[in-house]
Amino acid sequence: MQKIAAPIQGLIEEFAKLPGIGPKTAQRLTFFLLRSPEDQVTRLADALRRLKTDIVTCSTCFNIAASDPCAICGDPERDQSLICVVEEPLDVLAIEKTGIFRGTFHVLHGALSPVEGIGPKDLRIEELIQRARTTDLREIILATNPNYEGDYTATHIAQALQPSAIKITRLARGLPLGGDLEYADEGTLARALEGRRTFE
Amino acid sequence: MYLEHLELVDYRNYAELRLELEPGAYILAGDNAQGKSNICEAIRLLATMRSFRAGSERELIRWGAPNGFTRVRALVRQAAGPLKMEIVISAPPMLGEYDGVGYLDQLTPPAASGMHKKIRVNDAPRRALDCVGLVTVVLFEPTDLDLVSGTPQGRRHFMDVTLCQISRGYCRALSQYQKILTQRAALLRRIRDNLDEPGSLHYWDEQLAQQAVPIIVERSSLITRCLPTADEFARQLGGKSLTLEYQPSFAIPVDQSVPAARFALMERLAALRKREIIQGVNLIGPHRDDLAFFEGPVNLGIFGSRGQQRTAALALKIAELAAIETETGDQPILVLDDVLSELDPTRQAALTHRIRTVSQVFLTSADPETMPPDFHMWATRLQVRRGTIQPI
Repeated sequence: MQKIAAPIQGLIEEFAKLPGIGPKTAQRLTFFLLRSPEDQVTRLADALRRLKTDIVTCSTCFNIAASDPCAICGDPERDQSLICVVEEPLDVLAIEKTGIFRGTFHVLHGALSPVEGIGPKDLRIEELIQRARTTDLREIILATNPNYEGDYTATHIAQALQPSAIKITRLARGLPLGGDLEYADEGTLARALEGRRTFE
Repeated sequence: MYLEHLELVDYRNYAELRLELEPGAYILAGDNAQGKSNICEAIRLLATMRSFRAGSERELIRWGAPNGFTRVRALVRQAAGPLKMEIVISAPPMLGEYDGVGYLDQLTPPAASGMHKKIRVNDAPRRALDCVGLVTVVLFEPTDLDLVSGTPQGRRHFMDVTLCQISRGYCRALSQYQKILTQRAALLRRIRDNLDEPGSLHYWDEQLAQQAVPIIVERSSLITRCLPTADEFARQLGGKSLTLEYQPSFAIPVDQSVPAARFALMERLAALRKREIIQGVNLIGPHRDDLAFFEGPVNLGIFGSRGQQRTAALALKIAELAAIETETGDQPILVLDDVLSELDPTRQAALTHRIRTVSQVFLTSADPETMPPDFHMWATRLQVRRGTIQPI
């Protein structure tokens, strides 16, 4: 039973495949675009196409970028002896937003998860180890997510890098800024207690 | 504690139900398939945040509910003060349903996933895991009578549900432990298939030991605490002495420290390494534990008569009630779903006598006339008929 014209239905279905978009939102987006001026829709279409044609993976850090090497790896102001290892390109953005990190990144494109069949060979781990061998590194910060998969990945990398003179660190975990102690869950609070520091 | 107010909207076969309740015993009488067990399930949901019957939470939403959600609201009077609880479970629209824009046809993705559960406690939103055990409910349903002769899984489930209501830490450890087990089992199979190295297991051994030790310690202490009450009640039911024996797949000596126990468990895992890899399963840990019932030297699970097994199961449930009360300082709500009719008159009398001291009890029965006569004297009878409840 076809109630809507095929091009409209096709777009609704494409939208509905996106994360966070249900059938209702997909319909709303489609009809919004249908009523939009043509140049606006064309700009969106171009942006979508360029996402695949104009994007490359940086051969050093494996972040998605417009050029290779990427803007961060190619920046002479950046401390090349400091690598922050993250799971996803979005994590790079998150750390960049802090504005205090002046080193480079290494994007693994996932975390180890035996259940999902993701092993060391499926991530950019070997590339990281190569990078550690060929670059003069001072420190590697393991900034994988604070869950089992992220911890497992960090442990795996730390072991794979041994023996080595490079300092290996893991992001601290604990209380969020502006938070209330009474609202923190026990697990986080316990970690914060374990990781407490001398008052300076 | 007791339920003062219970409100169901589009829950199972209840379109709308409001019950004002008092401490004491309630007999929910009614024919089959009228909604007696649904009330039990809703009360239990307040304690565990999960249904004990539904395969999918979609089943809880009344068939044909106009807005695709169900709501359970309750006001519970506790020793510590009143507690308002609201659970709303909603489902995405299904095929052929009206979703506000149009009738959904082929656009709709398979509707199995995407159930939403929102919980509010005293009007503040809370996570489900943090709400388990705020209200405590001991449920006894007919399948519990098979606790002694049934699967080890059923007995582990008993320990878990009881402990989750008592201890937030246990609940959290158990949920973490499940995640670890799944990953570790998958890793064992990957190693067997040469996709990963055995060295990768070390991390998961550590995590497993960390969560397993408190689970084992808590279970062991629960069974020890249940023992005197269970034994006493079993004797009241006409049985001989009853002994409960927690049988962990990895035992921790009483005087062993937690770090030492963790270390011992990791050593044991290392020793089992080859077998675990070949079989591709987690061979030891709380997921392999069991609980045994003894009358003297006789293992009731194996040699007990049906009557002996029922007595033991009943005694364990009464012990659970006492254990939760001791631990939380408040008496749980007791729900007996269609259990009385499964017992002989002597046991019925002993049970109804025992539960007089419980602050609030709900009993369902299709045939309330068979209940002990004196029980009717002090219990309030409610008639359940096609999703409505009327006092008699």
